[in-house]
Amino acid sequence: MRTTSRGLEWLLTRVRFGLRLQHFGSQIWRVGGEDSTAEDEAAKRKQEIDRVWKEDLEEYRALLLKLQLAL
Amino acid sequence: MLLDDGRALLTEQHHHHKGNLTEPAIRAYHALIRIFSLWTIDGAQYFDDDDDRWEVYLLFERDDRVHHDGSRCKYTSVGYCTVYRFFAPPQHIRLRISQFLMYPPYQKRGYGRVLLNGIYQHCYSRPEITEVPVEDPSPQFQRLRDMVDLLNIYSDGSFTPDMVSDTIPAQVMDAIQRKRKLWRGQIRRCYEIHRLRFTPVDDIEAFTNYRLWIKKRIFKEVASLVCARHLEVLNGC
Repeated sequence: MRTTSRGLEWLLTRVRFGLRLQHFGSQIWRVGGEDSTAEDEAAKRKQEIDRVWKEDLEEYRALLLKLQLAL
Repeated sequence: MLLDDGRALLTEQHHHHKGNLTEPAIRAYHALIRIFSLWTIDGAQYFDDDDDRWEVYLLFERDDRVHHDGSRCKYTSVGYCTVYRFFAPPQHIRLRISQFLMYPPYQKRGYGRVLLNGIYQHCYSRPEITEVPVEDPSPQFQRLRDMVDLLNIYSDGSFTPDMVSDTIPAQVMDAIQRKRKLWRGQIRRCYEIHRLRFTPVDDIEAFTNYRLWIKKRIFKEVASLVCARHLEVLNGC
């Protein structure tokens, strides 16, 4: 009986350690992931700015055509 | 006023009516027409009728012909707009346009300009109103608003062809804001369109300056959005 409980305790300790290690590893992975995401975000931001600029320009040009008629 | 296809629009054939939702007749009429907002405005929903700060502007078309029943001067409902009075410290109000709707047969025929100008005219006569902002404008409404605001600004002579610098002169900005009761962001947008009008496309340097000036504004907007997203993530953690 004693041997069984000791065995369970031993197993639980290892499982807990394993879980902590896994959590720690995931944190490191996340930090690494965030570094690469910052670059991605900068590229995305640039794309977004270009997209909005093109949309605005088209919108303004269309409006100017109508404005010429209305003025 | 000229429509997009060059036809003249007779504004005297229209009748504006402004009402408060506390008036039983306006309330009953609004209850009949508000269903159109659900059909035509994306994401629209009914608001609380009991709030006395809601106002409704109605646009009717007047028909002076004699009709088969012998009646003269019939009014047809063309569209409506709901606005909400917000408190603007210390003692003013901001009249925020909430729902702006032209019924489908009357869309793209210049009635929107008539209604929006009617609301503006009404606001100019009320000294307690400092600003007429718009709640989450759709692209279609933004187009209409840009057109009306630019025409009003040009009729005042506030923007001149030589005004193409990066900054709007402070006295011009203040004068437009005071007279036309526009939000500063909207004045800046009108100025962007005005500047494009007088920036020659074949002048590479001038057009590059214009592009960079616009991109600076977009960068600030995108950066603030990214900051807000980061804050949301941090708060979520």
